[in-house]
Parts: sequence; structure tokens; C-alpha cells
Amino acid sequence: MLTIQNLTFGYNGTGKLFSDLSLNLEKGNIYGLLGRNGAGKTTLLKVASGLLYAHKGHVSFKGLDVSMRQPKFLADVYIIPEEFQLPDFRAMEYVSMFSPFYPKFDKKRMNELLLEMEVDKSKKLNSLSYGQKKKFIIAFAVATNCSLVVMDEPTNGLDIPSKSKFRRIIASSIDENRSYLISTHQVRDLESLIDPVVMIENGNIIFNERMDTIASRLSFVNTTKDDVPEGKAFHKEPIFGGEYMVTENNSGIESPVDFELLFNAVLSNQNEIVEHLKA
Amino acid sequence: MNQIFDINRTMLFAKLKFSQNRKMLLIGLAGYFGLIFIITFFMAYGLNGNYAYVMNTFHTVAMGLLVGLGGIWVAGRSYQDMNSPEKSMAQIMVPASTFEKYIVPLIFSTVLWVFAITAIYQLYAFMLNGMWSGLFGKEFGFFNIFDLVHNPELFDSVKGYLLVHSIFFLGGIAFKRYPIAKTVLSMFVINICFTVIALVTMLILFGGFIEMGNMNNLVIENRLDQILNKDTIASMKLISELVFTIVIPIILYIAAFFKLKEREV
Repeated sequence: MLTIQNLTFGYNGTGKLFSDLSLNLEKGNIYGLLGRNGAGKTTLLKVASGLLYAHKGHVSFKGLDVSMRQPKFLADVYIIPEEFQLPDFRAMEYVSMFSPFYPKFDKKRMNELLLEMEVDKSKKLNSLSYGQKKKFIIAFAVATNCSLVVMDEPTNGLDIPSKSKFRRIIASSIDENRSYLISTHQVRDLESLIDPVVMIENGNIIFNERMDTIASRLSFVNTTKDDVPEGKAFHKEPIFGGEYMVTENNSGIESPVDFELLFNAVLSNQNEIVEHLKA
Repeated sequence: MNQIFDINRTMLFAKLKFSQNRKMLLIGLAGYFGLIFIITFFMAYGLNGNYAYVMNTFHTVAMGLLVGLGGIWVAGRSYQDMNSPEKSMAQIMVPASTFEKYIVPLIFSTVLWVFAITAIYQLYAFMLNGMWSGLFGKEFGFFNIFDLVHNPELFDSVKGYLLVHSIFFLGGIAFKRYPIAKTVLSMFVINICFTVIALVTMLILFGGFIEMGNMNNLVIENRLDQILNKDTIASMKLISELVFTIVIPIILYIAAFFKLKEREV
């Protein structure tokens, strides 16, 4: 669906951020994009959405060159940036202004989502709190039924009940024709949601694996609670009274994936983990 | 659906753009019309003699300022809804083509602005003249915009307007913050550069600035006095008029399109 080929990009005066980066997003997935601060997650989302132009390489969505910013592409991709501004409209005025641009927009679903997210429809959008604005824009993005929804830190600013509602809404809206690309540091908010996991480091995609592969090939072990399995340990982190470990999973039983531990493990021992998963 | 221009999409985008800028536009117009109301009130109260002529001359100037300066203000602010990365992102991602995002503010600040404001001002002047006539018992006549249509200088005014409009329209896209002030500043700098070039050219041709108006004082012995005969000067005048009223606005409008197309966040 979205193909990034040999992307080279950098901001003026800061050198190259991406060099020869390639990534392919398929339909029907909720991609989690993880990376350190400054790794280029937001920039990658912007390049993928046609908001920034690649210096070299090619970014296409369903065969359309994203840098052309054709209406057909823009009507099928929705981006929710971390920082955004909403105009001086009330909720339904915004819907009536913007929804005609999206041929698959579902107004009934929008109303349901606003109700579920408890967004105040009577107030002007620019006077809502950050969290309310975020809930509104998430509801709108879901209701557009765009094939690709790109979200940068979507759970920032959401209260605890809203985070679980967010997970429920995203999980219920995914189908074989649409995908989400979510960049986040709040991995715990999205642990049950994202699949596959994509990690970016030093301007390159260093990890891109499905959850079932990770869960079946790696074990996430807390030595204070779990038995230490046989097999190679890829990464260890000391905790009070023991260790957190990422090890080979030779038991054949899938273990729950700890995203934070996985992220740290991949950063510290990328080659061995990737080789093990590919083997 | 055409990916470059579609009339339904363009109308949707125009509606959106107008809704987003409606408040600023209405405040600006209300302020200006309020000012005209106050000025004409005192004029109507204090005027003696040829009331109608003075009042309607005032209306001509006031309308000219509103159409001209107002149009430039609107052109300079055409892309103010893209003046921050967040706003820019929202505008770029609106599912309309770059051409549609370009043509809507362009048409609004040229054709639509001129015709709509002229019509509105005509009605407003009609209302004011009638109101002050009734209140002060003086005859202010009827301000008729169509009197100006027959003015031979109108066409030159339109050409001048398009030149200045194209400059401010480009400035509106090129400068994210304070586009009008920055465009004025840029024009000032460019004018200084042109003046310096002109002065240097004069210095080369005439050897000084005192006698530069006299062709006989040309110091370069390459028979420039023969080259610059009456016909040549007339042609040069025509060419420079064409360049400034047609070529430069077209170049600036095209540059504005590409500037919009290359806008990133």
C-alpha cells in the first residue's frame, strides 16, 4: 500500500537523517513505529504523507507518487500530527466543511465516535482542551475511512479512560482495506494494539516484525517471577531482586511481548535478534 | 475525477477557505465601512456648496482604496492559514490539488474581490448618500460606479493593480510571517537595487547626473544618440510597459504557484 524506496532525507544544516531507507506497509495492519527521540519518526511520517519531499528515493501510496499531493491520495490518507490546530468551527461545522472531501466518510460513525469519546459538540473546536481536540481529530480520522491513517503520538494528552477507548476504536475500525501507522513513545498504551512493530534508528529501519513472530521466537522473562528458560539471552536489564531478559523462545509457547524491553533489546543487540527472528 | 481541477472540489475548497477567513474579512470590512460612515457623516454635516461632487469624489477615492489596498491586503493574507507548521499541515492535507489551492485565493483576491467589493460599496454609498440627504436636507446625488467604467485610465489602473497584486500574492505564499510587511520591505530593497543600477547606467552613459537629461552630452562615442532615436524610445516604452504590466505579473503568478507547490511543513 505505502512503499518507501531508498529514501534519503535531511533537514538543512543537520546532515542526512535518512539514508537509503526502505519500508513497505501492507493493508490491514496497525504499524507501531518506535524509535528514540530524534530518530526521525515524525519526519518519516511527514515524508510518507507527502508533507516533506524526499531528497532521493521514491515514496508511493497505491501507486501514486505522494510528492504530487494528488487529491486522490490526500482523500485516502489522513495524518494526525502530534501538534495540530483546529479552526474556529464547532464540531459539526468542521464535519460539514471537511467531510465532503473524503468520499468514504461515515457521518453516523462520526457521531457515534464523538459520543463515545465524550467530545463536547457545542463548543468551538479551538476552545477545547488539548485532549478533547485530540479525541475529536481521532474520531474524524477514523470516520474518514481512509485507507491509511497516520498518527503521531496519538495517546499524548488523552486521559486514562480515553486511552482504552482509543484502543477499542482503533481495534474495531481496522479491516483488510485500511492500515494505521502509529508513532509513539507510549508503548504501554498500545501494547495490545500494534502489529507489526517497526523500529527506526540512525536513519534506517532496524526492525520490522510481526507480533506473532516476536512472541513465538522470543521470550520476555522477569527472573523474579518466571523460570529462566534455556537458550540464549539477547538482552538483560537489572531490576530489583532480579533481571528482565529477552531470550530465545525454545518452548514453543508464545510469551507476552514487553515493548519497552524489546525496544531496548533491539537497540543493544539488533543483529542477533533480527537474525534469530529471520532464522 | 480530474486530479488537477475539479469544479465541485474547487467550490468545496473555496467554501472552506472562505469559512476559515470569514471572521478576519468581516472585521476588516466592518472597520472600513465604519470609518467611511463616520467620515461621510461629518462631511455631510459640514459640507457647503457642491455637496454631491465632493461626496461622490470621496466615495470614488474610498472605493478605490478599498478595492486596491483591500485587494492587496487580501492577496498578502491569502495563505495566512499556512503560517505555522501545524496550519500548513492541515492545509496541505486538504484533499484538493495544488492548482485548486492556488486558484481559489487568486480568483478571490482579484476578480471576486473587485466585483463583490465594488457592488457592496455601490450599495453602501447609495445608502449613505440617501441617509445623509434625509438627515441634513442636502442633495448628495447618486454615486454611480458605472461613471468610472468609462474612465480611460481604468484599464491602466487594472494593469497596475495586477502588477502590485501579483507581488503581494507571491509575498503571501513566500513569507510565512508578516507577509505584507515583508513584501513591502522586499519591494523597497528591490527598488533601491534598481535605482542603484539606473544611477550607475546613467553615470556610464552621461558621465554624471547633472546633464543626464541631455542626449547631446552622451560621453560614449558609439552613436547611442542615433540608436536612441524617437522610434526606439517609443518601442522601449512599449516594451517596458508590456514587461511591467504583463510579463512580470505572469512570472510572479507562476512563481507563486511553484512556491505553493514546494511548500513543506
